[in-house]
Amino acid sequence: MLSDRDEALFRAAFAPVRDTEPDEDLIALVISQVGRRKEAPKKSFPRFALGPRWPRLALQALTALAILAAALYSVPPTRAAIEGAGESVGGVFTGWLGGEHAEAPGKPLEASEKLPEYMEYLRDGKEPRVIAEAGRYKLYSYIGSSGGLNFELGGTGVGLGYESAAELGDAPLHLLDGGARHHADAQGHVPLFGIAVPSVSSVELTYESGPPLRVSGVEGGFVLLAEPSRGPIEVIALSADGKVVDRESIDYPLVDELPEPSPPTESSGHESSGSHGP
Amino acid sequence: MDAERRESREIVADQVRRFRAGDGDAADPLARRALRMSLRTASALMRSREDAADVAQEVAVDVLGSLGKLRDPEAFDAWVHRITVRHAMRRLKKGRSTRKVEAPLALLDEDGLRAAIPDGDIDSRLAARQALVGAVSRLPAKQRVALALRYVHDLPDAEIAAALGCRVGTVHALLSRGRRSLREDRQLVEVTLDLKEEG
Repeated sequence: MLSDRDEALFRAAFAPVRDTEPDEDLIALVISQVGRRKEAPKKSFPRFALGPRWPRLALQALTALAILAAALYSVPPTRAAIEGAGESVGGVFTGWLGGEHAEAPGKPLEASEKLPEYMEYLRDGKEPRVIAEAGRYKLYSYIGSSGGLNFELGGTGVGLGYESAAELGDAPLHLLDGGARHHADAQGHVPLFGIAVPSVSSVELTYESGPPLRVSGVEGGFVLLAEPSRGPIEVIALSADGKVVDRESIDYPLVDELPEPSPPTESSGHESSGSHGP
Repeated sequence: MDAERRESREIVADQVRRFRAGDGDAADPLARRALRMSLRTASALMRSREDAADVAQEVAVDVLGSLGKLRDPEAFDAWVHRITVRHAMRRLKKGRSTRKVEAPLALLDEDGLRAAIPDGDIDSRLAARQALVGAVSRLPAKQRVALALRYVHDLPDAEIAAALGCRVGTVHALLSRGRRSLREDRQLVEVTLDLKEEG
């Protein structure tokens, strides 16, 4: 049993760090780093080109009716209903959170799946899923205990949580970013990861120089092994018939500093890899 | 206290909005806040001041660099805790520390030790410190993180759960196991029993 004295001992044991303050040099260093990689708005064009205002209002009204109808019949919001309002990652993941299991992204996390020890808590989550992988990276998604949506880029310590899937926005493509820029692999590749609606079957990362990196077989999520040195421009989401569904520009640096070019090795001729849904 | 916290949260939220709107002056207070919070947590977990500072720096840069993703500006502190936990856990799990120190930083402070164990002479306090050091450093990383968030930041279970990305029930279990392990630590029990008898 925890006595008052024990509690006081534990509390006081941590007391010294309660007053710890960062020194001015560290603050200045952080501010200079942030200044170099400060995010600019990522959306460079309108997500919807619906033209006149009234169709949008009509669409919103229809959406409200669909949601109201669903609520009246005590049925969780289905993805079909959300899609009626325009396909968006927010809508798709809301559908999954609402119980639309058949349309969940990726594949369920298998009991036999080996996870880093610090990520074992994923198994406590509701419906943990593997939604993409590339190289040594796997992108996981799970529903938190409070019903929120969570993503984890395995092995990097990078994760994002959303109280509601609606926070993902109304676009068919959404790049997730929680600080993975620090995790360049031995080849200098940086995992660029995101989610997309089901109609997106492939994604393409374009560069200022050289060929794009294209990944097919997308099932709700993707991980692209980007090459910062080639100047990534944008990620383009494509449907099965090759039509552009959406695009998102990369207008922030993927790494703080570009790595020194590594000397060529015998095995350096392999293609850049990206990934797709599992 | 609640009113103070509320006011503080609103001030920070305003700074977040200004930062996202391009106001460079907002970077300084946000960087200080993120650094302060993450440094305190990391100092309770890492085995050197340098490691703690490294973690805090990574966290602060990531937090400010990703503020565009934070939908609720009032959730700034929760955002910092969550990113801190991820960086700290990664570092703890990967054992990236190359600077070997015998104790978590939090337990090295003499004044803190005096506050923790006010009774007893200096030898008793030193013995108690050694016992505390050993007991805490033997705890699993996740238990240490949960205890640090509770005792450094006074976070309630729900906020610890949000930072750790687990259920509230899991937090209860982590705190309970951590406290029990400390309580049952043989060396710590012996020392604190001595102190109780002296007191």
